[in-house]
Amino acid sequence: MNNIIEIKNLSKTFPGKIQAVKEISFSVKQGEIFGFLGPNGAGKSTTIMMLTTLHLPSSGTALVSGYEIKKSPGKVRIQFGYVSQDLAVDDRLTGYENLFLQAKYYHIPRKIAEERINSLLKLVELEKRAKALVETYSGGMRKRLDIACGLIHRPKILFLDEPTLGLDIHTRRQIWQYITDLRDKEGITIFLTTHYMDEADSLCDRIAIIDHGVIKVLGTPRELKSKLGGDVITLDIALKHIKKIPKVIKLLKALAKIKQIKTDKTKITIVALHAESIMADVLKIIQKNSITLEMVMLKTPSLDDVFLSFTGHSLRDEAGSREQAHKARRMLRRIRS
Amino acid sequence: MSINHFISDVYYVGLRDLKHYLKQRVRIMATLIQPIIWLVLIGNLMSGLTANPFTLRFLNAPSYLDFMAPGVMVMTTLFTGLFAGVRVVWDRRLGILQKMLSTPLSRAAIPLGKVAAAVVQGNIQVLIVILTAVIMGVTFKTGLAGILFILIFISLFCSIMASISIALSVNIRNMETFFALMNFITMPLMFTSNAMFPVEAMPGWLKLIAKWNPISYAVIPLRTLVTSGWDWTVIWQSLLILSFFVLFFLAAAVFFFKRARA
Repeated sequence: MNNIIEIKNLSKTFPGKIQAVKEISFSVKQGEIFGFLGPNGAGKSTTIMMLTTLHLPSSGTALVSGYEIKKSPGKVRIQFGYVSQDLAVDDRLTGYENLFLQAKYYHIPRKIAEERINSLLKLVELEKRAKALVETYSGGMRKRLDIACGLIHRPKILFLDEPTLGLDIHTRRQIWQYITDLRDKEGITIFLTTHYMDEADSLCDRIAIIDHGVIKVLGTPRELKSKLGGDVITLDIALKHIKKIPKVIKLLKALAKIKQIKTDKTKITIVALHAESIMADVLKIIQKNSITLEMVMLKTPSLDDVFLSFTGHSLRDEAGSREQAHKARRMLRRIRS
Repeated sequence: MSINHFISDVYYVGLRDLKHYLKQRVRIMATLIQPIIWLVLIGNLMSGLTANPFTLRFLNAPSYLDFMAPGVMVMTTLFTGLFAGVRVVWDRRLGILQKMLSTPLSRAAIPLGKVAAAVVQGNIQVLIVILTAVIMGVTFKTGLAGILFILIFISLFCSIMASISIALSVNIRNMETFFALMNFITMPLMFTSNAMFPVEAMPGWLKLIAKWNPISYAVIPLRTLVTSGWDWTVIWQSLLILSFFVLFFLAAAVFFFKRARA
């Protein structure tokens, strides 16, 4: 398969010397669903905004469908559709008007625009509400309309920035279905960012984990999980025994078969081949040191574990920047579902 | 980038803003009522106060109402024009601006379309002011042809104000800052101009400010058309000066808009 996006040493430094993206290089294959996974503020949106020509990169290059983003931004803009995390649909206009204006921004003739709008409305199941003001739409309907806007000019690539942020679980699954259908039926390459593990796991063909502007690891979900090299035992130590953790870790490391031990606050994560065979030994160590456990778990690795293993911290604990939190709140206020 | 695409871009950016405007019923009601309040309340009150030969000599008009009507037209336009930037701040906050910028839409067409929409709004509102003034007995010396010229001047003045507003708005991220800035600009501009009070009645220092105040440049030709008649020297001079400012500030709006970060 051909590479439809090729990124080489792309960096972005904002005024104030905040380096949001640091020399990232990777490529996206034609027709795949590519996921950019990372906590808030990791550099996901900044990367998308560079690829969509909204931000100029500080250094490095990227080819989008064969066109260089700095040299020919005009050509690049026709190649992709961009659905931002802001739910950027126009409240005061109807769904139809939103799509029509979007078509006109791409200079699509009226006749063709009307045909495409009707078929897109059918695709995202909004035909019945097309003439209603977007104000009256639910969060999921707005997202669907926004995705339809991104498809109006039949792009080769669709950039989806946090496509299911702030949506309920049912709507999220519905959006996943649309995304998969787009790839399967229309052959559109999908580049999405997310901070939901399950989304990356069940939706994406390949995932890049990004943290603090650096790509930590890239591969299919299965590859990433097997990179851990075994099963995962998670121990949650009671807070009152937190001081005993270093000693416990020393003892645990002495056990055979253990590949990796990581701690995150009170949580100890152990990666080991055939973890069930060492479980007894692990518990023995805990018991000997008279430590109270809040939780013990043994499982095959999830992307959560992969994330923790490659970044040294868990994804959920990330508080996110103030602007991000503000954005999320603002958006939730706009959604009425 | 063909010229047809560019015109289409300006048109659809402007059309979107106008659609928003026409759906804001409360705002339209307010813009209908505001000139009536100015003219009926302040106009009538001041007409009573100034109905003596001594003051009328300053006004150089049949009554204060005749003197004030062009001032109200310019002020109405001033507010409408300066409001144009609000749309930029909103669009940026809601992510709609970023969405527009990721399309092939011309960068320059966005500020120009917004200015065009403001000009249409300004003309609608000034027509309402003119209608109110006519009903209240203001006589337009130059008649219908004069009103046509008034609308040309209003369009130029509105373009200037809308361009200034957009140029200032591109780096503002929240509404409160924007409104504070606009208030800071409008009040002093209004009261140091000849819109409400005759320059002849002002103290020397204020006269000097009023002379250089951009609002005065729009009020002078309008007042000439309403109260004196076809004074072509004034009309041509004002047309030239205002057109120059239109070009200058439009260029500034486009420049700052293009330079701004998404």
